[in-house]
Amino acid sequence: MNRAFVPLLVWATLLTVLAAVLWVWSSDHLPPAIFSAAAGVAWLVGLYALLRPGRRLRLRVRPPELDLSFSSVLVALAVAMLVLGALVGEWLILIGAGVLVAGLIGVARELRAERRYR
Amino acid sequence: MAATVSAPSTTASPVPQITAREARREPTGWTSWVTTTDHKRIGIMYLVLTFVFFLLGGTEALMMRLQLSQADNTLLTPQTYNELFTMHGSGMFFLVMAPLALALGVYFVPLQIGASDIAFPRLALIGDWLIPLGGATMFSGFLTDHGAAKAGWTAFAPLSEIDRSPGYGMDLWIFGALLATAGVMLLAICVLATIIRLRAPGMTMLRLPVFTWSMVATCLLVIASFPALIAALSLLFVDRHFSGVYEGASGPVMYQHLFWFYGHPVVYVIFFPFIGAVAEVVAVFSRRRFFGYHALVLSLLAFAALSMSVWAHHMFATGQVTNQYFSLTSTILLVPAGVEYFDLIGTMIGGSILLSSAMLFAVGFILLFLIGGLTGIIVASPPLDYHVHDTFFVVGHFHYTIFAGSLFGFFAAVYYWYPKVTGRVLREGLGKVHFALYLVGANLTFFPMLVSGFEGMPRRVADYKNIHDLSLMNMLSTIGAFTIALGTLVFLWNLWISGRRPVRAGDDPWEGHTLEWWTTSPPPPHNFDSLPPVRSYSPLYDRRLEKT
Repeated sequence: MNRAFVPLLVWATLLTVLAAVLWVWSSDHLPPAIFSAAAGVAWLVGLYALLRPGRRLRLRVRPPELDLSFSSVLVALAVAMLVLGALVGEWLILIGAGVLVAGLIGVARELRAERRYR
Repeated sequence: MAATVSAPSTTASPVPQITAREARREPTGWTSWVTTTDHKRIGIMYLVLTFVFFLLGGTEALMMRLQLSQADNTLLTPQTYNELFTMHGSGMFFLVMAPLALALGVYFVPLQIGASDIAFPRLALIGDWLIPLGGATMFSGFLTDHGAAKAGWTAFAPLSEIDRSPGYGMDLWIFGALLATAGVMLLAICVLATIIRLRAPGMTMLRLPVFTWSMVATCLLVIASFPALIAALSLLFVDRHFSGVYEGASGPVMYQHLFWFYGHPVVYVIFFPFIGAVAEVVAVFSRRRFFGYHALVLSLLAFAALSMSVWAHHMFATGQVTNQYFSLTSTILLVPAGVEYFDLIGTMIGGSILLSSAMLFAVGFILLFLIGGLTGIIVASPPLDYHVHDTFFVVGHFHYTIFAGSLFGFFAAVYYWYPKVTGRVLREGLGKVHFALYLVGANLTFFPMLVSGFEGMPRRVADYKNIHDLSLMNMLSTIGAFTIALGTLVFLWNLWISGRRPVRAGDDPWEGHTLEWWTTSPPPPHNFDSLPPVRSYSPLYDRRLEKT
């Protein structure tokens, strides 16, 4: 059984305890609230490890083209365009949105091809 | 094309337990690099890219040191100086040290746990692109009318607000930092998911190599604390253009809480992977199994949790934080740090130590980080912190931890793993010269900062008066900075000469303990043609013991 979740949940518990102590000690709500949110993220990571079993090992030997992903590059460029669009103008946001859609479709196709290969 | 997988054996076995049936050719051409989802190529791209940003940041540091080399100097204008220290700090944190730490994980974690790939490779590639895009965005501020950002790497409100930091430079800084931070977060998700889901048979959590454990702690910190920076900077952009977020007496304190919730853990993000790498180096070059493995694992988890709880010790001087809590947790940090030091020294005791370049840098890391840690006790104590707050003492303290500590750890990793990545060894003689120049340079640069800061020299100022021998201290720091630059040139020469006249390394030149040394150097695209049984955190050391 994959027990990766154990240390992760232990860590989340540690964060929760430290956040709880800060709730008791601090007169300001903001610091313990931020800390509690981080503890919540840690619990989510622990739960991911609990619910997602380890994958069976395969020493993958597969066509090299499956190791290339132009679409992922498009997604990254689109994210940058969307973010910078807030400064540069709406036109960049629109281009970024278009590139993002193209990139995501491409990634979906790549993943489908990969699944077919498996 | 599938691979055969047999159940993990519980008895000694001379034969590999897992074998791939065939090898395959590697993609070629530049597009095969920029669009690759192979974790090794992504890791190499990160390493090269971050080193370029390191050289940029280092050049900025040299310019600042020239300005400060004497009192009343007019080499740089105050505005240029402000831009330089802002971009130096930002570049080193957002574009160099944090990505560098994750880059090591992206390359070596799958190899250390016997995985053929990284989890979510496309996500890793997206992260790979977001970091240079963020860097380009951040540095493009130099091309704008008002110049690059000049509010420091912390970008505290209200200094970073529109009326005090007008122009696009600050906005570009915000977006650059956001993109780079998002990139690092994606990498952390991929590395942690790899450790959770893709471990080889027999590789239980308590058999993970020490470096991989350090990456677990690193990734947890990134995933839990970096969103605070994304929130802080997004709100800062809103505040600059629509106002109202960080207004009033509590606004700047709110920004500081959000920023430092990221800003302190990031110091550990750029510490843990390097202490993990140093632990591997110390064990291998002491010819001993790592001492105190379980204590180290526990201390890493405790260290990571505590390091999330200390952020407001940066804010003692605001008078608006719970000093007792943050001082207590900051001081308790010494306990896990002490355990890690105890384990490292315990590994060396009784070992047959080989003082290679990697080992020298590892020992340098242990010694210099100790100075960073001990000066940290002073800034963790509110009454002492009030005295040195915003002085060069703080600059000296964190450069001892980050440069003299983590960067020494990084170079220990470089000299140790370079043969695995390239199949060649770096020249040992040049490595030792590099180490000597860095050791002298780091102490010459940063120790005088502790003294001048204690005497009251404020940080983030382009000019000062020559009282309490401040000119002498600053001149020493400048000489030290150029000594470090010389050391960097020696390293670059070592890379060049080792590339031009390669000396073949073989698959396992150091007699390593962990799985990355089982495969070829450099590893094939699918990482392993076979895997040995894993019955401890140092499986190859076990095999050597079995043979003898």
